[in-house]
Amino acid sequence: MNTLLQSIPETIGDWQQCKEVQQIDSSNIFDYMNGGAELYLGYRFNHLEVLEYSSEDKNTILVEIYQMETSDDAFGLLSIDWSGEQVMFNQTISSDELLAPEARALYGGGLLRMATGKYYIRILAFRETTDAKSVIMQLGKLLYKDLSSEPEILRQIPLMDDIGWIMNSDKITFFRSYMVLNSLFYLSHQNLLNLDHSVSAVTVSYNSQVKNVKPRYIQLLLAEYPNQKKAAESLKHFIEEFLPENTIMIDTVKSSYSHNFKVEEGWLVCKLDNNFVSIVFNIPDQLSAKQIINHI
Amino acid sequence: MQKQKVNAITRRDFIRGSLTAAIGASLAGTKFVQAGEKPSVSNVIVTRNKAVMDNELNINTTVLAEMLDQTMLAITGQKSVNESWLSLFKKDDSVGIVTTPHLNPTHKELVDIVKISLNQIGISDKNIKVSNKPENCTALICMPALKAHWLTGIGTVIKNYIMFSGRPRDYHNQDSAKLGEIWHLPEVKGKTKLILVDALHPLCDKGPQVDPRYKWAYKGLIAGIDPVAVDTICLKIISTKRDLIKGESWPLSPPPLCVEAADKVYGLGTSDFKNIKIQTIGWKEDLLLS
Repeated sequence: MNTLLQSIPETIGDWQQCKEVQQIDSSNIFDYMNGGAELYLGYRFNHLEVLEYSSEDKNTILVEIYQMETSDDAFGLLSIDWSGEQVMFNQTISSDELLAPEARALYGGGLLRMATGKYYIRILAFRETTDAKSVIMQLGKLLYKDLSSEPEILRQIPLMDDIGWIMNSDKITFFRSYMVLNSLFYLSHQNLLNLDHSVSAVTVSYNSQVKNVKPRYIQLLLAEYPNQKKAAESLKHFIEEFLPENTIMIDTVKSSYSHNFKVEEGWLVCKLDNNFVSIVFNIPDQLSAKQIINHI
Repeated sequence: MQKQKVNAITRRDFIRGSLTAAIGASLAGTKFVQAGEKPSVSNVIVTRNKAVMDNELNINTTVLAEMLDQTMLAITGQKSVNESWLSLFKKDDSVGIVTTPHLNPTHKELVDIVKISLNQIGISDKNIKVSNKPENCTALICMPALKAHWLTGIGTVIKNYIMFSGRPRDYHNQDSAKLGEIWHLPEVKGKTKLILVDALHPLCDKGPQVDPRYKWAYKGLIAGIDPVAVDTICLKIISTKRDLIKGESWPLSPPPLCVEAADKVYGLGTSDFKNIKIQTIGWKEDLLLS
């Protein structure tokens, strides 16, 4: 049994565990949630345990404990949506050390989502009531073990306040899959950046400090590849597919490269720096594009 | 061997408004790419009643049955409810009711009321199946619940037959544009007599699992004969609700390729708002259609 499961009792008040714990791994996750499985498999998924509590008034609370291979992957799943009521359990890391929102448990509408260590946890009441919310919070507190540090790649996110772009910390998402990226910022239905489990990637938006500028925000994609060769080939692939009219030849042997491109949504900049690829979309003008290249 | 060039649909195709061309290019060489005859105007009925659900989301089946009757009369233009069903189904039909089993399932209460309606025109229970086997049916009712979908943008009407393919994973991502081809499979083609969308409690964010914050009590049924027109209206309602939630534009991501492709590539109906006539019945508050 998952050690986390041992943290929670069979009975909480009037609520009782009502079914055997369901064990789900990559071989049967599609049976459990159909195409939704692609989300979890897009991260480094190990297995899932599912249990239910029921109450005398026939309400049900579903508990899903996703054990991921790393805490980065659990963080990534939570980071897809930072909205909701922030819930602070046993916080041990100072918020000064964090770039993303500090609360790693978020509640709304009867659903508590949280990331703790390498676990991503969903606790859902089928009917939201005061009693159900109280039990959800008790379960959350029992299951919440620690706040892990953020994925390393977040430390590479550039701050650009000095050139008028303010990062939206509640729009930071860590991912490894183009499907996850597309669900946040649609790029292409093809895997143009060769994302896979060996890649750590993050996307975040920045709002302009200048009023009435269009586009109002820029979007950064930053990916760390296992080596320079894969990073260079991935950027080359992206430019060939996304910017097919471009005539610039990308030398994949070079360890650094940067360029800006005029596209429909304004300007786009790409940068290769050893095994990191940065791309910024929606830049309003060429001057801003040149400034941004110097910051990423 | 030379690697075959893949036509990637990208963000830029959407910004340029060249989606149709991009979809067409990406689907070149696939089976069933054909544009069929379409009516000049497609009717979509949106029927709502505030009393159909209470605050705890329990269904009032009497009200729901009334809503269904109103919907059927409006779709068919017949004078009686039985005549309206008989204008679409024959007494000896074997009817497959195709529901959504996952994510935001079709309400069982609605399925039961549809079964009773079919019983009332002489179709016995043994000839009504909640089914994923179209080959055993002479008529189909496409009866999904209204919802967004994280791999296809929208997961309502056109996507509802995905299990008929036997290969659902083949229709995700860019291949979701091909969902329309399933409607042309020999065991499916021409059998769909009614599109009836359960919009009682829709889901406007993509999932992949339900987040209750993105469900709301729309308390509606959305129906028609043209699957693309009905999906287009569903898309409009979901998109409008999303924008309201965020207070700014919050487009579906990934974009729903399947609806426009079902029109422009597979000829299953119209996705052009100008060619869709919406008739609303009942509760008008927060219709989300303007």
